[in-house]
Amino acid sequence: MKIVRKGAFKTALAGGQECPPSLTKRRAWLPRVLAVMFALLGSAMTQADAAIAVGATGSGTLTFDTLPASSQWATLSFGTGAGDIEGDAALDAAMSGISASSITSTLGQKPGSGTSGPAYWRSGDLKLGTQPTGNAMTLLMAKLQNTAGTTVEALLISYQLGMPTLAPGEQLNGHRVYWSKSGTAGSWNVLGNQLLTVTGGTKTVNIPLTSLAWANGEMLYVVWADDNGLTNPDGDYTLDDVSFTPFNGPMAALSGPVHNATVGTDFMIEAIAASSNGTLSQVAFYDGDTLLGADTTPPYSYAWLGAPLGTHALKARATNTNNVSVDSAVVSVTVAAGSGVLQRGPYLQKAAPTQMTVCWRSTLSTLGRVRYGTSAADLNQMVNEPALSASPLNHVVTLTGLSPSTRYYYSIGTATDTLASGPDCTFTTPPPPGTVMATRIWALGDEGTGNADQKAVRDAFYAWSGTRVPNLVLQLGDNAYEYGSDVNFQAGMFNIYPTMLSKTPFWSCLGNHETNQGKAFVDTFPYFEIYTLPTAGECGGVASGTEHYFSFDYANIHFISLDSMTASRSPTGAMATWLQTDLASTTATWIIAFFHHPPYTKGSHDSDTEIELIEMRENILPILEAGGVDLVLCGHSHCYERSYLLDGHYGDSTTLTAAMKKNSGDGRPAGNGAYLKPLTGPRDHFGAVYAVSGSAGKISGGSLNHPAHYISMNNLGSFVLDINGPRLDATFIRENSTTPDTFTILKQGAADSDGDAIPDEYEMAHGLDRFNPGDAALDSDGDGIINLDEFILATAADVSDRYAFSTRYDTPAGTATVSFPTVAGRNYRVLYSATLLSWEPASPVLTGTGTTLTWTDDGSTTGTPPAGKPQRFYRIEVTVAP
Amino acid sequence: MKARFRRPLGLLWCLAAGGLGAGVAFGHGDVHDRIAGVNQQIATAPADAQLYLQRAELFRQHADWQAALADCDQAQPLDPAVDVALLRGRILLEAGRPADALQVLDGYVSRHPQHTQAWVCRARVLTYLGRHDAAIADYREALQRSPQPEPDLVLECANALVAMGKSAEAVAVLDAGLTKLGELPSLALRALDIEVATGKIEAALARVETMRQHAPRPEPWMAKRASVLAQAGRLVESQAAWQALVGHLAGLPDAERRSHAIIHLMQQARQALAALDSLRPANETPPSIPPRSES
Repeated sequence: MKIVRKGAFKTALAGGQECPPSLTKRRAWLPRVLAVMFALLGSAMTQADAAIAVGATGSGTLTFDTLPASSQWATLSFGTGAGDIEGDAALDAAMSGISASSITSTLGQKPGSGTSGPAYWRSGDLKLGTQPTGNAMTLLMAKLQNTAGTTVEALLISYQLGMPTLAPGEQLNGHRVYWSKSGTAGSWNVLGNQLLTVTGGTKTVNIPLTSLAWANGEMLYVVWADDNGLTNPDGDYTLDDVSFTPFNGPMAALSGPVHNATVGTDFMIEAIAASSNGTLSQVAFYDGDTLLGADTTPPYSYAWLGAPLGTHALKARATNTNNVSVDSAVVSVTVAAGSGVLQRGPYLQKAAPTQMTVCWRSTLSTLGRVRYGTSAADLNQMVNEPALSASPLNHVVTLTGLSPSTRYYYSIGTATDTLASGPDCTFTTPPPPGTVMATRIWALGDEGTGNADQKAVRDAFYAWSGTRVPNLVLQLGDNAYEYGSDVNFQAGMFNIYPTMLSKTPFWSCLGNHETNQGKAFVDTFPYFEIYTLPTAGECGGVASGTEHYFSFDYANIHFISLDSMTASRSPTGAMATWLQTDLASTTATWIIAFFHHPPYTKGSHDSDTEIELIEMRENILPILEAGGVDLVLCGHSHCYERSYLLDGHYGDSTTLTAAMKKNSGDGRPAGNGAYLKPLTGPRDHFGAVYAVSGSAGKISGGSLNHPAHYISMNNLGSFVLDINGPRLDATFIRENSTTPDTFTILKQGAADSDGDAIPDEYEMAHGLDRFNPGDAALDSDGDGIINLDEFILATAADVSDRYAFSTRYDTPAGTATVSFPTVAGRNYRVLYSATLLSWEPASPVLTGTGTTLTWTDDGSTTGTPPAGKPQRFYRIEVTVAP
Repeated sequence: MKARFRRPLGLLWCLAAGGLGAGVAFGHGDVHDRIAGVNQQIATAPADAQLYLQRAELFRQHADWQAALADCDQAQPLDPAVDVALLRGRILLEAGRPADALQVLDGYVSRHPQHTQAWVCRARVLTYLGRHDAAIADYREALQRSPQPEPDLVLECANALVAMGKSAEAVAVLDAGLTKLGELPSLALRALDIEVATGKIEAALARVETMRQHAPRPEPWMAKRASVLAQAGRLVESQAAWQALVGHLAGLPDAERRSHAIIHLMQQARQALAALDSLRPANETPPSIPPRSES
């Protein structure tokens, strides 16, 4: 590449001489040489030639009608490949080590968008642009010099930010702006971020730089820094119409909406405002000369709700503490009726028996409205969006006061229009917790590819399920490849499941692609803007205080979503503590946990070597199993793996023992039989099934030989659970509609951990060891009755007591009445004997009621006592009711 | 759904704390595969510092500290703009060299004071070294920079304060966390422990009551109240509280009463009552224990 030096460089290099490639290494010292020369010459004109001169009226607008001087604009890129300089902190860190003297590359010239490399001079429509693809970070620097003849107290930096193109997977991020007067490493001040939200859009940026004290003749460096993380590449952007204007007193400029924009009737008016001395008392917003409202704290904004239709001339008036005011330029906007076009949704979130949250995105900023009712023909109730959010195109409306287990129909829109309605806009509220009902759950793992595989899996489930709409959908993470960006979610989720999203609540956990592989526990990922998840226990369960992990109830099922990606997986960490509390607070029949990183896998990931998987297995599984989890669903490995009924397997794959398999069969009623677990009593350590269902969007192979799994398959598919009362049926549905794996868990009877016929519940209540079968034959309280019999008689094994009953003989009637206490869950029968040597049934079997029962021997069953043996003996036979 | 800037903050933590995923679209694979993938990339671009950092992170995940540090050494001269100190510090800590980690992180924090995770990382190193006073300062700095701090960060800071004997400050940190994050059991339980240990029984009981009001079920917090009273030596009140809990549990619907959670609570209550009974002087009347469920 030819590097043409202009201006002062020409002078330094004897004019017109091309700089040989080897001289690029001298970039660092060249400006220093020049600075020395300027100092010697002492010529303001010469210096101005080397920098953008900012005079008393500013620099004027730099429209780039001609190639800018290389002495005024320069660029620098880092890295030969994309890297992980990404986000504010990374940019700040990188900038802190840079000096202006190292930003010396001349801007290249490229037609249209750039392809890679440093910032470039964009030919055709003449703008400065960046395209950091192929680099970790690209800098564009403007060198300014104060030629105003006096100290400049404040400077307004204005420019037009444009986004010409956006490649698939790229984010609409903008850049971060820095300034420094010395340009030395470590001297950079942050001016914040400038972002674009619309592909191909433009945005007028105004950045006030106050309390500057920029001395006459002094230099000022302004840098636009664009990150380009490996997993989160940015699209290119352009700068045009750049100006640097000194100001004294207040300044104001409207930053939103943009000039000539069409907006909805409810929208945010935003302003950039400042005072040269840094003290501003308020910013007032006007429609023409009509005051709309004022804001006293930055960022300055006003939510105009119910704006009249038509064209409006908006302006902001900034007033500083000296009571000096200035008006912004007028921005014209057209207010249109309705919501515009539906871009996303509707989709259902945070379902609870008496509430449902409806979300969607439209093209016009408005306050949303949901109309709803129990008849499709009569949506006779409505809820308005309570307030305009900072993302007014996204709408979140929560319906409350709903009836459980009730079907509702709804529409979305505004007060004046309807964006969506019809047969797919319907939902049924969950039943009250504990309700026994047929529940279908569709689980999707690693589905968000947006490709034909994902659609095939989807269609196979739709065909298999037919008209039976699942009650809820579980997303096991990696819902939006590749970066979890908003664009990715549109392609990998909203465009794929639109009709399901509008009638079935989706619940999710955090995958590694939702965080762009990041591990910081923050809620700034798009995931958290898209999902509305419970944090305060509002859908059941204990409040977690975070959307990273939470729980909720549906019917007699308790669901737990964990964050295996960014939360601490320590056994004493906050998530683990919350989990223990949550498990101790549920009485649901079923507990299903889901998180992204599987504890047992040999698919495209290996649970023996990867830290997230290992820590979930070693630290979190013991808590889940102690809390009685029944089923654990994960993704991450792009395959299907399903375990035996397991318990206590916390080591790597080589440590699995036969004893850890509570049931080593296939779990199929028609095969080795369903997996059985107790219905009542303590539920810990009766086994859980672990399923990896991470192939709803792609498959990636692997050795698929983890010994914990009964079956491992490298096939596309999704996972379905049908739960009804004490029965759970699971089915893996391939993309070709076959179902190569099914299993069933049945819950029945009372828990008896040691199998000694004394239920755990009794052993725990009476001080016995529920893991010691030997204590059934002991007489713990020394009352002459062994513990097993104490249980059967419903006496206390830890208190010396007796089962006592009485008899009363009615002489006139010639009958004997036996009275005996009973408890529920036992059957009683009176036996009789005349000799105490043999016993015969006297009464029918009587069911215990918890009260004292009586049975009268009138001889009809027992007959007349033999001659000479008038005595009659009775005893009570007690058995445990089946 | 909340309105937020989309620029992912704090993603430098990818570099520092892992997660430099495979660079290929949809690329996964275990650590070995990913290392092999980066090896291939390095073969074609041997001067790319980022690739060495990716591999260093993968080696860190694989507990191959020496290789990870070697890659940090490789990366630094290739790109002076990259500061590998945070990653290096984390590797050194995990390699059992906390003193070396601290030295590296000191430099990083001084160069990048705006980096919240750097403060967190150094605080953890200082905690590991038992230098709780210095760790507390770093934790506080990190908390101040986190509008929605990770609950674990609050816990760690509180624990460091407790280690310094600053229990009241620890509770204050936990309370600040509860204010920011809501009534989280993880924070509340820690505060409760500290309050009981320091004899702030009324405060502890008030906290229990607050948590009970926010909990989906009252029973665990009823048990906690009884337990706190016992720990405070208020045995009669504790006994009454346990008895009240037993009575409450016995009155629950069968499906709830016979559930895992409630049975465990019942067992806990009976054991506590038995223990309290054994402490009672012989001439006192034993407490009346409510009827048991005998099913």
